[in-house]
Amino acid sequence: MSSQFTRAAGLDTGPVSLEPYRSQTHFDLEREKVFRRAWLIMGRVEDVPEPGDYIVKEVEICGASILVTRLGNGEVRAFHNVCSHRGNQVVWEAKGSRKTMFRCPYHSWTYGNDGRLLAISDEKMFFGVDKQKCGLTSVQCELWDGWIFINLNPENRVGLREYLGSMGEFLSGIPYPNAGRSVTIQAHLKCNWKFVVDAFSESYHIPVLHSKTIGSTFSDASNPMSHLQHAAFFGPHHSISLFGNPDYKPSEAHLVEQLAYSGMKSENVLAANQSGDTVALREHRSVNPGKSPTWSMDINEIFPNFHIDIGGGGFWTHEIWPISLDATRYEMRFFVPRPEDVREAMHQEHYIARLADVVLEDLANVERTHKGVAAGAKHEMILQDNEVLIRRMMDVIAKFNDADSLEGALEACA
Amino acid sequence: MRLSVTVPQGERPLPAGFDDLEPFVAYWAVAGQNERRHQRCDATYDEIQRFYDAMLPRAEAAMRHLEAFPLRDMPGPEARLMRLVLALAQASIAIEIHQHARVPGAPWPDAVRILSEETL
Repeated sequence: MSSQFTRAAGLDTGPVSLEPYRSQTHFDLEREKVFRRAWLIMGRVEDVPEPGDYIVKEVEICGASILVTRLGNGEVRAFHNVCSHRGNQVVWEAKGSRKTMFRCPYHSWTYGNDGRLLAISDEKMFFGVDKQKCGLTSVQCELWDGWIFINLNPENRVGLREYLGSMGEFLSGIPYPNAGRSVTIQAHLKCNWKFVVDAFSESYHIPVLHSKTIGSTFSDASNPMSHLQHAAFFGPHHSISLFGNPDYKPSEAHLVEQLAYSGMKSENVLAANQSGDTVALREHRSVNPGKSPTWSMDINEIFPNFHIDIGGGGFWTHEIWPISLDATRYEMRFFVPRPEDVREAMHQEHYIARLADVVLEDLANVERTHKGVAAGAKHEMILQDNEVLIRRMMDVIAKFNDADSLEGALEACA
Repeated sequence: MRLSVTVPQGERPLPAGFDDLEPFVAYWAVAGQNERRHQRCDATYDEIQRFYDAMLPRAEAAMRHLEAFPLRDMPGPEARLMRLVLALAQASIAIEIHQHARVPGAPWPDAVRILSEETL
Protein backbone atom coordinates (compact mmCIF):
# COMPACT_ATOMS: atom_id res chain seq x y z
CA MET A 1 0.00 0.00 0.00
CA SER A 2 1.44 3.30 -1.07
CA SER A 3 0.81 6.60 0.66
CA GLN A 4 3.81 8.61 -0.47
CA PHE A 5 1.88 11.69 -1.68
CA THR A 6 -0.69 11.73 1.10
CA ARG A 7 1.95 11.48 3.82
CA ALA A 8 4.18 14.03 2.09
CA ALA A 9 1.21 16.41 2.23
CA GLY A 10 1.04 15.85 5.99
CA LEU A 11 -2.45 14.34 5.77
CA ASP A 12 -3.87 11.32 7.51
CA THR A 13 -5.17 8.42 5.45
CA GLY A 14 -8.61 7.78 6.95
CA PRO A 15 -12.01 8.27 5.26
CA VAL A 16 -13.13 11.87 4.62
CA SER A 17 -16.51 13.35 5.59
CA LEU A 18 -19.03 14.05 2.79
CA GLU A 19 -20.89 16.65 4.85
CA PRO A 20 -19.14 19.66 3.22
CA TYR A 21 -20.63 18.64 -0.16
CA ARG A 22 -24.25 18.68 1.05
CA SER A 23 -24.48 21.00 4.03
CA GLN A 24 -25.96 24.49 3.56
CA THR A 25 -24.18 25.62 6.73
CA HIS A 26 -20.90 24.56 5.22
CA PHE A 27 -21.68 26.31 1.93
CA ASP A 28 -22.45 29.55 3.79
CA LEU A 29 -19.10 29.23 5.57
CA GLU A 30 -17.31 28.76 2.25
CA ARG A 31 -18.92 31.97 0.96
CA GLU A 32 -17.67 34.02 3.90
CA LYS A 33 -14.40 32.30 4.76
CA VAL A 34 -13.17 31.21 1.35
CA PHE A 35 -14.69 33.21 -1.51
CA ARG A 36 -14.98 36.56 0.28
CA ARG A 37 -11.34 36.23 1.43
CA ALA A 38 -9.33 34.52 -1.30
CA TRP A 39 -7.91 36.11 -4.43
CA LEU A 40 -10.17 35.08 -7.33
CA ILE A 41 -9.33 34.71 -11.01
CA MET A 42 -10.91 37.11 -13.52
CA GLY A 43 -8.93 36.25 -16.66
CA ARG A 44 -5.82 37.06 -18.66
CA VAL A 45 -4.41 40.49 -19.45
CA GLU A 46 -4.98 39.48 -23.09
CA ASP A 47 -8.73 39.55 -22.36
CA VAL A 48 -8.39 43.34 -22.04
CA PRO A 49 -5.46 43.99 -24.39
CA GLU A 50 -6.10 47.66 -25.25
CA PRO A 51 -7.04 50.79 -23.29
CA GLY A 52 -10.85 50.97 -23.31
CA ASP A 53 -11.27 47.17 -23.27
CA TYR A 54 -13.37 45.65 -20.49
CA ILE A 55 -14.86 42.39 -19.28
CA VAL A 56 -17.62 41.66 -16.78
CA LYS A 57 -17.33 38.57 -14.57
CA GLU A 58 -19.88 37.14 -12.19
CA VAL A 59 -18.99 35.82 -8.75
CA GLU A 60 -22.37 34.27 -8.07
CA ILE A 61 -21.62 32.90 -4.60
CA CYS A 62 -20.94 36.44 -3.39
CA GLY A 63 -23.69 37.98 -5.53
CA ALA A 64 -21.06 40.13 -7.22
CA SER A 65 -20.76 41.36 -10.79
CA ILE A 66 -17.24 42.65 -11.42
CA LEU A 67 -16.21 45.09 -14.14
CA VAL A 68 -12.53 44.80 -15.14
CA THR A 69 -11.20 47.68 -17.25
CA ARG A 70 -7.97 48.67 -19.02
CA LEU A 71 -7.18 52.35 -18.54
CA GLY A 72 -5.40 54.70 -20.93
CA ASN A 73 -2.18 54.36 -18.91
CA GLY A 74 -2.30 50.57 -19.28
CA GLU A 75 -3.42 49.92 -15.73
CA VAL A 76 -6.01 47.14 -15.12
CA ARG A 77 -8.70 48.05 -12.56
CA ALA A 78 -11.74 46.26 -11.12
CA PHE A 79 -15.02 47.67 -9.81
CA HIS A 80 -18.34 46.45 -8.56
CA ASN A 81 -20.65 46.75 -11.57
CA VAL A 82 -23.19 48.72 -9.54
CA CYS A 83 -24.51 52.22 -10.18
CA SER A 84 -24.20 54.69 -7.30
CA HIS A 85 -27.67 56.04 -8.04
CA ARG A 86 -30.00 53.16 -7.20
CA GLY A 87 -27.85 50.09 -7.59
CA ASN A 88 -28.58 48.89 -11.10
CA GLN A 89 -25.84 47.16 -13.09
CA VAL A 90 -24.02 49.73 -15.21
CA VAL A 91 -22.57 47.36 -17.84
CA TRP A 92 -24.87 44.72 -19.28
CA GLU A 93 -22.63 42.99 -21.83
CA ALA A 94 -19.92 40.46 -20.92
CA LYS A 95 -17.12 42.24 -22.76
CA GLY A 96 -16.36 45.13 -25.05
CA SER A 97 -13.73 47.50 -26.31
CA ARG A 98 -13.02 51.16 -27.10
CA LYS A 99 -15.11 52.33 -24.18
CA THR A 100 -13.64 54.82 -21.74
CA MET A 101 -17.06 55.80 -20.38
CA PHE A 102 -19.95 53.67 -19.15
CA ARG A 103 -23.45 55.10 -19.14
CA CYS A 104 -25.91 53.36 -16.83
CA PRO A 105 -28.82 52.32 -19.07
CA TYR A 106 -31.34 53.07 -16.30
CA HIS A 107 -30.97 56.88 -15.78
CA SER A 108 -27.80 57.71 -17.68
CA TRP A 109 -25.36 58.24 -14.83
CA THR A 110 -21.98 58.18 -16.56
CA TYR A 111 -18.70 56.79 -15.23
CA GLY A 112 -15.13 56.78 -16.53
CA ASN A 113 -13.39 53.42 -16.93
CA ASP A 114 -11.31 54.52 -13.92
CA GLY A 115 -14.53 54.40 -11.89
CA ARG A 116 -15.03 58.17 -11.50
CA LEU A 117 -18.60 59.46 -11.72
CA LEU A 118 -18.42 61.91 -14.63
CA ALA A 119 -22.01 63.05 -15.05
CA ILE A 120 -25.48 62.80 -13.51
CA SER A 121 -28.38 63.40 -15.88
CA ASP A 122 -30.78 66.10 -14.64
CA GLU A 123 -28.30 66.83 -11.87
CA LYS A 124 -30.06 70.07 -10.86
CA MET A 125 -33.00 68.09 -9.46
CA PHE A 126 -30.76 66.27 -6.96
CA PHE A 127 -29.86 67.63 -3.55
CA GLY A 128 -26.21 68.49 -3.73
CA VAL A 129 -24.62 65.16 -4.70
CA ASP A 130 -20.83 65.01 -4.17
CA LYS A 131 -19.79 63.32 -7.42
CA GLN A 132 -16.28 62.70 -6.07
CA LYS A 133 -17.75 60.30 -3.52
CA CYS A 134 -20.09 58.50 -5.93
CA GLY A 135 -17.75 56.67 -8.24
CA LEU A 136 -17.99 52.93 -8.91
CA THR A 137 -16.89 50.96 -5.86
CA SER A 138 -13.33 49.84 -6.43
CA VAL A 139 -12.33 46.18 -5.92
CA GLN A 140 -8.75 45.12 -5.12
CA CYS A 141 -7.20 43.94 -8.37
CA GLU A 142 -3.67 42.66 -8.98
CA LEU A 143 -1.79 40.94 -11.77
CA TRP A 144 0.53 37.95 -11.64
CA ASP A 145 2.26 36.60 -14.77
CA GLY A 146 -0.52 37.97 -16.97
CA TRP A 147 -3.37 36.62 -14.82
CA ILE A 148 -5.89 39.11 -13.39
CA PHE A 149 -7.13 38.42 -9.85
CA ILE A 150 -9.49 40.31 -7.53
CA ASN A 151 -10.18 40.23 -3.82
CA LEU A 152 -13.71 40.96 -2.61
CA ASN A 153 -12.75 41.84 0.95
CA PRO A 154 -12.34 45.65 1.07
CA GLU A 155 -10.29 45.23 4.26
CA ASN A 156 -7.98 42.61 2.76
CA ARG A 157 -4.30 43.13 3.65
CA VAL A 158 -2.76 40.12 1.90
CA GLY A 159 -1.38 40.97 -1.54
CA LEU A 160 -1.77 38.59 -4.48
CA ARG A 161 1.93 37.67 -4.47
CA GLU A 162 1.78 36.79 -0.79
CA TYR A 163 -1.44 34.83 -1.34
CA LEU A 164 0.12 32.76 -4.15
CA GLY A 165 3.30 32.40 -2.11
CA SER A 166 5.58 29.55 -3.16
CA MET A 167 3.04 28.45 -5.82
CA GLY A 168 3.50 31.80 -7.54
CA GLU A 169 7.27 31.37 -7.45
CA PHE A 170 6.99 27.78 -8.71
CA LEU A 171 4.96 28.82 -11.75
CA SER A 172 6.54 32.20 -12.42
CA GLY A 173 7.81 32.91 -15.90
CA ILE A 174 5.85 30.26 -17.77
CA PRO A 175 5.53 31.36 -21.42
CA TYR A 176 1.84 30.80 -22.15
CA PRO A 177 1.38 30.17 -25.89
CA ASN A 178 -1.72 31.66 -27.59
CA ALA A 179 -2.79 33.39 -24.38
CA GLY A 180 -4.78 35.83 -26.49
CA ARG A 181 -7.11 33.33 -28.16
CA SER A 182 -9.31 30.77 -26.48
CA VAL A 183 -12.27 28.49 -27.01
CA THR A 184 -14.41 28.04 -23.91
CA ILE A 185 -16.43 25.00 -22.93
CA GLN A 186 -19.10 26.17 -20.52
CA ALA A 187 -21.61 24.19 -18.49
CA HIS A 188 -24.13 24.94 -15.76
CA LEU A 189 -24.24 21.91 -13.49
CA LYS A 190 -26.61 20.66 -10.81
CA CYS A 191 -23.97 19.82 -8.24
CA ASN A 192 -21.81 21.23 -5.49
CA TRP A 193 -18.76 23.05 -6.88
CA LYS A 194 -16.28 20.81 -5.05
CA PHE A 195 -17.36 17.77 -7.07
CA VAL A 196 -16.21 19.63 -10.18
CA VAL A 197 -12.87 20.57 -8.61
CA ASP A 198 -12.44 16.93 -7.60
CA ALA A 199 -13.26 15.69 -11.12
CA PHE A 200 -10.24 17.56 -12.50
CA SER A 201 -7.87 16.80 -9.61
CA GLU A 202 -7.02 13.12 -10.05
CA SER A 203 -6.10 10.66 -12.80
CA TYR A 204 -7.41 7.49 -11.09
CA HIS A 205 -10.65 7.82 -13.11
CA ILE A 206 -9.07 8.43 -16.52
CA PRO A 207 -8.46 4.83 -17.69
CA VAL A 208 -12.00 3.95 -16.54
CA LEU A 209 -14.38 6.83 -17.21
CA HIS A 210 -12.48 8.09 -20.27
CA SER A 211 -11.45 4.66 -21.57
CA LYS A 212 -12.49 5.44 -25.15
CA THR A 213 -11.80 9.16 -25.40
CA ILE A 214 -8.36 9.66 -23.78
CA GLY A 215 -7.70 6.61 -21.61
CA SER A 216 -4.87 5.27 -23.75
CA THR A 217 -3.16 8.67 -23.77
CA PHE A 218 -2.90 8.65 -19.98
CA SER A 219 -2.14 5.00 -19.24
CA ASP A 220 -0.41 1.97 -20.71
CA ALA A 221 0.62 -1.53 -19.64
CA SER A 222 3.38 -0.09 -17.42
CA ASN A 223 0.93 2.18 -15.58
CA PRO A 224 -2.58 0.87 -16.21
CA MET A 225 -4.19 2.92 -13.42
CA SER A 226 -2.49 6.17 -14.42
CA HIS A 227 -0.58 6.71 -11.16
CA LEU A 228 0.71 10.23 -10.58
CA GLN A 229 4.25 11.11 -11.58
CA HIS A 230 4.77 13.94 -9.13
CA ALA A 231 2.96 16.01 -6.52
CA ALA A 232 3.95 19.26 -4.82
CA PHE A 233 2.17 21.31 -2.16
CA PHE A 234 2.34 25.09 -1.73
CA GLY A 235 0.28 26.58 1.11
CA PRO A 236 -3.37 26.22 0.05
CA HIS A 237 -2.36 25.52 -3.57
CA HIS A 238 -0.94 22.37 -5.16
CA SER A 239 0.32 20.74 -8.32
CA ILE A 240 0.39 17.21 -9.73
CA SER A 241 1.89 15.67 -12.85
CA LEU A 242 0.11 12.94 -14.79
CA PHE A 243 1.46 9.93 -16.58
CA GLY A 244 1.49 9.96 -20.37
CA ASN A 245 1.77 6.99 -22.71
CA PRO A 246 4.82 7.87 -24.82
CA ASP A 247 3.73 5.50 -27.58
CA TYR A 248 0.20 6.76 -28.12
CA LYS A 249 -0.78 6.99 -31.77
CA PRO A 250 -4.25 7.36 -33.27
CA SER A 251 -5.67 3.91 -34.01
CA GLU A 252 -5.49 2.66 -37.61
CA ALA A 253 -9.27 2.68 -37.69
CA HIS A 254 -9.42 6.35 -36.67
CA LEU A 255 -9.18 7.68 -40.20
CA VAL A 256 -10.55 11.15 -39.51
CA GLU A 257 -8.39 11.51 -36.41
CA GLN A 258 -5.37 10.67 -38.56
CA LEU A 259 -6.48 13.19 -41.15
CA ALA A 260 -6.98 15.85 -38.46
CA TYR A 261 -3.51 15.27 -37.05
CA SER A 262 -1.80 14.75 -40.42
CA GLY A 263 -0.51 18.32 -40.54
CA MET A 264 0.52 18.26 -36.89
CA LYS A 265 3.78 17.42 -35.27
CA SER A 266 2.34 17.30 -31.78
CA GLU A 267 3.14 16.11 -28.27
CA ASN A 268 -0.07 14.11 -27.80
CA VAL A 269 -3.78 14.29 -28.56
CA LEU A 270 -4.19 17.12 -26.08
CA ALA A 271 -2.14 19.37 -28.33
CA ALA A 272 -3.52 22.59 -29.74
CA ASN A 273 -0.11 23.60 -31.02
CA GLN A 274 2.64 22.30 -33.23
CA SER A 275 5.42 20.79 -31.14
CA GLY A 276 7.89 23.45 -32.23
CA ASP A 277 5.68 26.17 -30.78
CA THR A 278 5.79 24.77 -27.25
CA VAL A 279 9.53 24.18 -26.77
CA ALA A 280 9.94 27.10 -24.35
CA LEU A 281 6.85 25.96 -22.45
CA ARG A 282 8.15 22.40 -22.06
CA GLU A 283 11.59 23.62 -21.02
CA HIS A 284 10.25 25.67 -18.10
CA ARG A 285 11.60 24.27 -14.80
CA SER A 286 8.10 23.74 -13.38
CA VAL A 287 6.48 22.19 -16.44
CA ASN A 288 6.82 18.44 -15.99
CA PRO A 289 8.79 19.32 -12.83
CA GLY A 290 10.01 15.74 -12.39
CA LYS A 291 11.18 15.87 -16.07
CA SER A 292 9.64 12.45 -16.53
CA PRO A 293 9.89 10.83 -19.99
CA THR A 294 6.40 9.41 -19.45
CA TRP A 295 4.59 12.68 -18.76
CA SER A 296 1.34 13.98 -20.20
CA MET A 297 0.36 17.09 -18.25
CA ASP A 298 0.50 19.09 -15.04
CA ILE A 299 -2.51 20.21 -13.02
CA ASN A 300 -1.73 23.40 -11.10
CA GLU A 301 -4.51 24.30 -8.68
CA ILE A 302 -4.74 27.82 -7.34
CA PHE A 303 -7.08 27.78 -4.39
CA PRO A 304 -10.03 27.84 -4.40
CA ASN A 305 -11.36 27.44 -7.93
CA PHE A 306 -8.76 28.01 -10.65
CA HIS A 307 -6.60 25.38 -12.38
CA ILE A 308 -3.86 26.03 -14.91
CA ASP A 309 -3.25 22.76 -16.75
CA ILE A 310 -0.17 22.44 -18.94
CA GLY A 311 0.61 19.70 -21.43
CA GLY A 312 3.31 19.29 -24.04
CA GLY A 313 1.02 20.81 -26.64
CA GLY A 314 -0.21 23.88 -24.78
CA PHE A 315 -2.23 24.95 -21.77
CA TRP A 316 -5.84 25.25 -20.66
CA THR A 317 -7.64 26.42 -17.54
CA HIS A 318 -10.60 25.41 -15.40
CA GLU A 319 -12.74 27.89 -13.45
CA ILE A 320 -15.30 26.41 -11.09
CA TRP A 321 -17.82 28.95 -9.75
CA PRO A 322 -20.29 27.97 -7.02
CA ILE A 323 -23.79 29.38 -7.51
CA SER A 324 -25.59 27.61 -4.67
CA LEU A 325 -25.07 24.47 -2.60
CA ASP A 326 -26.12 22.33 -5.58
CA ALA A 327 -25.45 24.52 -8.63
CA THR A 328 -22.16 25.39 -10.30
CA ARG A 329 -20.96 27.29 -13.34
CA TYR A 330 -17.97 25.63 -14.96
CA GLU A 331 -15.71 27.11 -17.64
CA MET A 332 -12.79 25.40 -19.31
CA ARG A 333 -10.71 27.61 -21.59
CA PHE A 334 -8.47 26.11 -24.26
CA PHE A 335 -5.85 28.55 -25.50
CA VAL A 336 -5.46 27.78 -29.18
CA PRO A 337 -3.68 29.26 -32.19
CA ARG A 338 -5.66 31.11 -34.84
CA PRO A 339 -6.21 28.61 -37.67
CA GLU A 340 -5.00 29.99 -40.98
CA ASP A 341 -6.26 27.33 -43.39
CA VAL A 342 -8.81 24.55 -43.61
CA ARG A 343 -6.40 21.88 -42.32
CA GLU A 344 -5.62 23.84 -39.18
CA ALA A 345 -9.32 24.57 -38.69
CA MET A 346 -10.12 20.87 -39.11
CA HIS A 347 -7.49 19.89 -36.52
CA GLN A 348 -8.86 22.41 -34.05
CA GLU A 349 -12.44 21.26 -34.63
CA HIS A 350 -11.39 17.67 -33.87
CA TYR A 351 -9.36 18.72 -30.82
CA ILE A 352 -12.21 20.73 -29.28
CA ALA A 353 -14.87 18.16 -30.28
CA ARG A 354 -13.02 15.37 -28.48
CA LEU A 355 -12.40 17.54 -25.42
CA ALA A 356 -16.03 18.63 -25.23
CA ASP A 357 -16.95 14.96 -24.96
CA VAL A 358 -14.21 14.22 -22.42
CA VAL A 359 -15.54 17.10 -20.35
CA LEU A 360 -19.09 15.81 -20.77
CA GLU A 361 -17.99 12.42 -19.46
CA ASP A 362 -16.75 14.22 -16.35
CA LEU A 363 -19.72 16.55 -16.06
CA ALA A 364 -22.43 13.93 -16.40
CA ASN A 365 -20.57 12.14 -13.66
CA VAL A 366 -20.40 15.04 -11.16
CA GLU A 367 -24.19 15.42 -11.25
CA ARG A 368 -24.57 11.71 -10.52
CA THR A 369 -22.05 11.96 -7.68
CA HIS A 370 -23.91 14.90 -6.17
CA LYS A 371 -27.15 12.91 -6.23
CA GLY A 372 -25.44 9.95 -4.61
CA VAL A 373 -23.92 12.02 -1.85
CA ALA A 374 -27.07 14.09 -1.26
CA ALA A 375 -29.03 10.86 -0.78
CA GLY A 376 -27.38 10.62 2.63
CA ALA A 377 -26.73 6.89 2.42
CA LYS A 378 -22.99 7.42 2.81
CA HIS A 379 -21.25 9.66 5.31
CA GLU A 380 -17.65 9.37 4.19
CA MET A 381 -15.62 8.91 1.04
CA ILE A 382 -12.64 6.58 0.83
CA LEU A 383 -9.65 8.11 -0.97
CA GLN A 384 -6.48 6.49 -2.31
CA ASP A 385 -3.02 8.03 -2.55
CA ASN A 386 -3.44 9.29 -6.13
CA GLU A 387 -6.52 11.23 -4.99
CA VAL A 388 -4.39 13.27 -2.62
CA LEU A 389 -5.54 16.64 -3.98
CA ILE A 390 -9.16 15.89 -3.08
CA ARG A 391 -8.21 15.04 0.49
CA ARG A 392 -5.94 18.06 0.66
CA MET A 393 -8.53 20.53 -0.61
CA MET A 394 -11.01 19.39 2.03
CA ASP A 395 -8.27 19.98 4.59
CA VAL A 396 -7.48 23.46 3.20
CA ILE A 397 -11.17 24.46 3.19
CA ALA A 398 -11.50 23.31 6.80
CA LYS A 399 -8.49 25.46 7.71
CA PHE A 400 -9.98 28.50 5.94
CA ASN A 401 -13.32 27.96 7.69
CA ASP A 402 -11.62 27.72 11.09
CA ALA A 403 -9.31 30.71 10.65
CA ASP A 404 -10.40 34.18 11.70
CA SER A 405 -8.49 35.90 8.88
CA LEU A 406 -6.87 35.15 5.53
CA GLU A 407 -3.47 35.60 7.19
CA GLY A 408 -4.46 32.96 9.76
CA ALA A 409 -5.73 30.60 7.04
CA LEU A 410 -2.48 30.87 5.06
CA GLU A 411 -0.46 30.28 8.21
CA ALA A 412 -2.51 27.17 8.98
CA CYS A 413 -1.84 25.84 5.45
CA ALA A 414 1.89 26.60 5.51
CA MET B 1 -34.19 21.90 -32.21
CA ARG B 2 -32.43 20.82 -35.38
CA LEU B 3 -30.73 23.55 -37.39
CA SER B 4 -30.91 23.84 -41.16
CA VAL B 5 -28.77 25.54 -43.80
CA THR B 6 -30.51 27.50 -46.57
CA VAL B 7 -28.60 27.98 -49.83
CA PRO B 8 -29.22 31.50 -51.24
CA GLN B 9 -31.09 31.53 -54.55
CA GLY B 10 -28.83 31.39 -57.57
CA GLU B 11 -25.89 29.91 -55.62
CA ARG B 12 -24.75 26.36 -56.04
CA PRO B 13 -24.79 24.44 -52.75
CA LEU B 14 -21.20 23.25 -53.19
CA PRO B 15 -18.29 23.88 -55.59
CA ALA B 16 -18.34 21.99 -58.91
CA GLY B 17 -17.15 18.42 -58.52
CA PHE B 18 -18.60 17.98 -55.04
CA ASP B 19 -22.24 17.58 -56.11
CA ASP B 20 -22.39 14.11 -54.57
CA LEU B 21 -22.23 15.73 -51.11
CA GLU B 22 -25.19 18.07 -51.72
CA PRO B 23 -27.71 15.94 -49.78
CA PHE B 24 -25.67 16.61 -46.61
CA VAL B 25 -25.48 20.40 -46.88
CA ALA B 26 -28.82 21.28 -45.25
CA TYR B 27 -28.09 19.39 -42.05
CA TRP B 28 -24.31 19.30 -41.70
CA ALA B 29 -22.97 22.54 -43.24
CA VAL B 30 -24.01 24.74 -40.31
CA ALA B 31 -21.77 27.58 -39.15
CA GLY B 32 -20.17 27.36 -35.71
CA GLN B 33 -18.44 24.69 -33.67
CA ASN B 34 -21.17 24.54 -31.03
CA GLU B 35 -23.81 24.26 -33.76
CA ARG B 36 -21.97 21.42 -35.54
CA ARG B 37 -21.58 19.59 -32.24
CA HIS B 38 -25.30 20.10 -31.63
CA GLN B 39 -26.16 18.58 -35.02
CA ARG B 40 -23.97 15.56 -34.38
CA CYS B 41 -25.43 14.96 -30.93
CA ASP B 42 -28.98 15.43 -32.15
CA ALA B 43 -28.61 12.99 -35.06
CA THR B 44 -29.16 9.25 -34.95
CA TYR B 45 -26.13 7.00 -35.22
CA ASP B 46 -27.26 5.91 -38.70
CA GLU B 47 -27.50 9.51 -39.91
CA ILE B 48 -24.00 10.22 -38.60
CA GLN B 49 -22.68 7.02 -40.21
CA ARG B 50 -24.19 7.92 -43.62
CA PHE B 51 -22.57 11.36 -43.52
CA TYR B 52 -19.23 9.96 -42.30
CA ASP B 53 -19.18 7.29 -45.02
CA ALA B 54 -19.93 9.82 -47.76
CA MET B 55 -17.63 12.56 -46.49
CA LEU B 56 -14.53 10.63 -45.42
CA PRO B 57 -13.39 9.59 -48.95
CA ARG B 58 -13.97 13.18 -50.18
CA ALA B 59 -12.30 15.02 -47.28
CA GLU B 60 -8.77 15.13 -48.68
CA ALA B 61 -9.96 16.45 -52.07
CA ALA B 62 -12.19 18.99 -50.35
CA MET B 63 -9.32 20.30 -48.21
CA ARG B 64 -7.06 20.52 -51.24
CA HIS B 65 -9.71 22.54 -53.07
CA LEU B 66 -10.28 24.81 -50.06
CA GLU B 67 -6.61 25.55 -49.41
CA ALA B 68 -6.73 28.02 -52.32
CA PHE B 69 -9.27 30.19 -50.47
CA PRO B 70 -8.81 32.45 -47.43
CA LEU B 71 -10.27 30.63 -44.45
CA ARG B 72 -12.42 33.55 -43.28
CA ASP B 73 -13.55 34.84 -46.67
CA MET B 74 -14.71 31.91 -48.77
CA PRO B 75 -17.42 32.10 -51.42
CA GLY B 76 -20.72 30.50 -50.31
CA PRO B 77 -20.18 27.07 -51.94
CA GLU B 78 -16.63 26.82 -50.55
CA ALA B 79 -17.75 27.97 -47.08
CA ARG B 80 -20.38 25.21 -47.06
CA LEU B 81 -17.85 22.61 -48.20
CA MET B 82 -15.46 23.75 -45.45
CA ARG B 83 -18.22 23.32 -42.87
CA LEU B 84 -18.83 19.78 -44.13
CA VAL B 85 -15.12 19.06 -43.55
CA LEU B 86 -15.37 20.48 -40.03
CA ALA B 87 -18.59 18.54 -39.40
CA LEU B 88 -16.69 15.36 -40.36
CA ALA B 89 -14.40 15.98 -37.38
CA GLN B 90 -17.49 16.15 -35.17
CA ALA B 91 -19.03 13.04 -36.76
CA SER B 92 -15.80 11.10 -36.30
CA ILE B 93 -16.01 11.48 -32.52
CA ALA B 94 -19.24 9.47 -32.65
CA ILE B 95 -18.06 6.89 -35.19
CA GLU B 96 -14.39 6.41 -34.32
CA ILE B 97 -14.37 7.02 -30.59
CA HIS B 98 -17.74 6.25 -28.99
CA GLN B 99 -19.36 3.99 -31.63
CA HIS B 100 -22.41 5.82 -30.35
CA ALA B 101 -24.01 9.12 -31.39
CA ARG B 102 -23.23 10.71 -28.05
CA VAL B 103 -21.25 10.11 -24.88
CA PRO B 104 -22.80 6.89 -23.57
CA GLY B 105 -24.56 7.50 -20.29
CA ALA B 106 -24.71 11.28 -20.64
CA PRO B 107 -28.05 13.06 -20.98
CA TRP B 108 -29.18 14.82 -24.16
CA PRO B 109 -29.66 17.75 -24.40
CA ASP B 110 -26.56 18.18 -22.27
CA ALA B 111 -25.09 21.07 -20.30
CA VAL B 112 -22.04 21.60 -22.53
CA ARG B 113 -21.71 24.73 -24.69
CA ILE B 114 -18.73 25.62 -26.87
CA LEU B 115 -18.15 29.38 -26.90
CA SER B 116 -15.79 30.51 -29.68
CA GLU B 117 -14.37 33.93 -30.38
CA GLU B 118 -15.17 33.51 -34.08
CA THR B 119 -17.67 31.50 -36.07
CA LEU B 120 -16.27 29.41 -38.87
